[in-house]
Amino acid sequence: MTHRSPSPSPAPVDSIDLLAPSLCLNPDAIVDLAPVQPSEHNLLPSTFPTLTWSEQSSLHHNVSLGEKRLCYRHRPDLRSKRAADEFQLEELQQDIKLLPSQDQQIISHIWSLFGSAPASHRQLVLSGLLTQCCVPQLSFLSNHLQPLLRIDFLSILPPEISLRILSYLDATSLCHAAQVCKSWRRLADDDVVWHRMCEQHIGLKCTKCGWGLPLLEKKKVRSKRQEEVAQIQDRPLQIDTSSSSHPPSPAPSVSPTSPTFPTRRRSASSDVEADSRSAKRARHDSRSPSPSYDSGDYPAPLFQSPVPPVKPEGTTRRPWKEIYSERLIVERNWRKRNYKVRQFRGHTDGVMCLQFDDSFLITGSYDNSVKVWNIETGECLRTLTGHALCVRALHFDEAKLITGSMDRTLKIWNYHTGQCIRTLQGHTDGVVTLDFDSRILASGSVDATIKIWNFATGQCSTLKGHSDLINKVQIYKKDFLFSTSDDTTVKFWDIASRTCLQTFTGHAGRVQCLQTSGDALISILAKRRHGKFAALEPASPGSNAVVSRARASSPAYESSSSDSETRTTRSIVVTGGLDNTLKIWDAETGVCLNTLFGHEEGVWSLAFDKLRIVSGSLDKTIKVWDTESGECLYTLSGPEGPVTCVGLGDTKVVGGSADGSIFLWDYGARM
Amino acid sequence: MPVILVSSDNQDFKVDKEVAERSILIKNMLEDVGESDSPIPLPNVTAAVLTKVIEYCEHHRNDPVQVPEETDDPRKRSNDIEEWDMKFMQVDQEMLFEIILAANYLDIKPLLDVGCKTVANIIKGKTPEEIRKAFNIVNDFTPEEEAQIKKENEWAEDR
Repeated sequence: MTHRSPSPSPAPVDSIDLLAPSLCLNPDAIVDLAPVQPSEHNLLPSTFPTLTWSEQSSLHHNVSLGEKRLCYRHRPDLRSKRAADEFQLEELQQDIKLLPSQDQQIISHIWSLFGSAPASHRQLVLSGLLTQCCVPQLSFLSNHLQPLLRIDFLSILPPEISLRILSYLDATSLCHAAQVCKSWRRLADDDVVWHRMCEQHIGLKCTKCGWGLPLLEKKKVRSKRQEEVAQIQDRPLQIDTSSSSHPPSPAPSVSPTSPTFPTRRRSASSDVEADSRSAKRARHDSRSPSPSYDSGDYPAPLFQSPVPPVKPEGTTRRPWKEIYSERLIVERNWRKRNYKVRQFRGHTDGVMCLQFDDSFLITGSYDNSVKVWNIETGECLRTLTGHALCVRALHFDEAKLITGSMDRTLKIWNYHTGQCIRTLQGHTDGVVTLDFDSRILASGSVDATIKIWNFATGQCSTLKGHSDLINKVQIYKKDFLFSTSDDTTVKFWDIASRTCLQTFTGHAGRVQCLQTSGDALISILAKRRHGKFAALEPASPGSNAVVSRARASSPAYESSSSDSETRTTRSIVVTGGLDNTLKIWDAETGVCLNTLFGHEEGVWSLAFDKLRIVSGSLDKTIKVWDTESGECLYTLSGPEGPVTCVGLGDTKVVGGSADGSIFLWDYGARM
Repeated sequence: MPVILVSSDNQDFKVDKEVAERSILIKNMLEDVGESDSPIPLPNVTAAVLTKVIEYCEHHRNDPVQVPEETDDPRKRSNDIEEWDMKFMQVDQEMLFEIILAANYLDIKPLLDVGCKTVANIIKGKTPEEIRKAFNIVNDFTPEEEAQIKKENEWAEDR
């Protein structure tokens, strides 16, 4: 007999499988039951002569398969999860009852025999049936098989494979998956899946789908700067001599930060997740767009603003899905121009320069003053006076503010107190631009020179080469500097040797503004024209020869997205000029990668991150561009004069105008 | 030198070593055993599934061996499936399920990836109800729960 189990009482599984012996495609589940035991569900009348399979066949079957395994269709734990759109045994029985009783018995018997057959026999039986089927019957089979073969993959695969499947989905599909049923929800909301989504999209352009989400990272620059500050306090640096000598002299008066303020330590393990909740300061001065999340210690603010103090954090982790959704909403706000506009009123003449972080907006004006604003409330916290002429340039970090003025001086301020710490003199004409890091201050002037001031030694050196006034300077990778000038060129300098390494030519007008990508790599789509890269045409013939040395070449990651476009990541420089265009340059080679047309008048100011470029123009507008493609997304208007300065953050654009107005466009998540 | 693989239903498959070694499991086994003619039993894989898996390994016998880190790099992950693999995966869900399990058991990462991507592509772009239909799943949420979860996930709609 085929009874393998001597137990007279059937296992719980049995009673379920008895219901549908004829439908079981895998006999393993029911081999113990054959021949069919008496049961009220039994289709076979007890009077019918009993035909059974030989003991040999079932023996062979048991030996060859070894362990027994329930097939997907007959696992009791999964039955309840399946939709009831399969054949219903009850309905079939109804149909059978319409037949003559002998036919009923035969059909029942065929089913029953099949139901008790071992797997190998079943295949034989089916093959025989198939050979006898007419085409309409085959068609019937083929129509009914597909739906029966559906499997709830996620619920029955090992969780690690299910999560792998989900990791190939986009956010929308994941959110749909979470709504399917309880077990899918657990998987589709899993932190692992959403962590991956965040890694792929936050703070960069996803190379898979081509779009990214804002970083909303609030401590990145700070922690890095703090490191630099620590270094410089240990070891002052002289730049007017050869780089080999670093005498350990104490830092004189122009020390970058007061070393005495208390530092609050924060858990280094905290990731992006904890940040967006509390009010912390980060530089949105657009210097180095979105390095990957780093964590570290950073000092508490010197200045207690009306913003509530930073709460200790790191104890609670937010789900990555929530982080993703928050950023997606911000990104959508950017795309759909869903912003709130605010204005900062107070300057009595044109605004010429600005910078902001999460707490402060600082602006400099033709009214000779500098104003420190609470960026969230719009309140003017402090007005710094002292410059005798227009304030053209400013830059601040957590401790100090440095301003440059047409009165030919630079001033260093404690903007938390309003105190002017020091005034630097040296330029023979107005100061138009400045930049600093932890070691040095660079300033550019109407006198066509660039001066490099050493914080530690107080020494000053001069870079000469431009033939007209300097419009913008920015320090690049510590040892280099970019400058733009009214002479229509961009120059790239080695600070230590005070030599110009390369001149980027291409703008047809004065080059007003510039920003480098700093240490970050930016994803750029290079378009092919006539079968070769338009981007690879040298900016100025022969100029590449000089550029062999120092600049460490960054590993460019290339992927071909289509025949005509290639996505690469590289260090870039973006410039804007009075020829109404912006240009994106490869910082390493000086090759012009893209020229952005759209402004109707000269471009006065720009800022960019990995996702977008904003530019302010004499045409009174700010344009928002896609960094990667260079496409103009849309135009912001509001100021009634030329937009002389712009700033860009993850959720904000700020523009200052020659009419004295300051506009803020806020794209922050409003959930 | 050919290797003999034995399926769970006792069928022998003679395959080139190079092909068999697409499976890291088999590769490690062979390395452990050294030169040997003894057949390798694969008690978790039926002949039908093993046939498919060998077909895949034959086709990809010359592919460069993947560095493990590479496959986990999200930047390298993509939903693109090459044409041959796509056709190869045009099987019913039962076979797809078995192939995924076999690829996991035999440790054939690229095949596991293709299998997972194929399932992902079935899910993609469907509404929750369409997903339930595609995999024959019963909605076990109460109407209140369903409404709540729908609301929670609303942010992802409307791109």
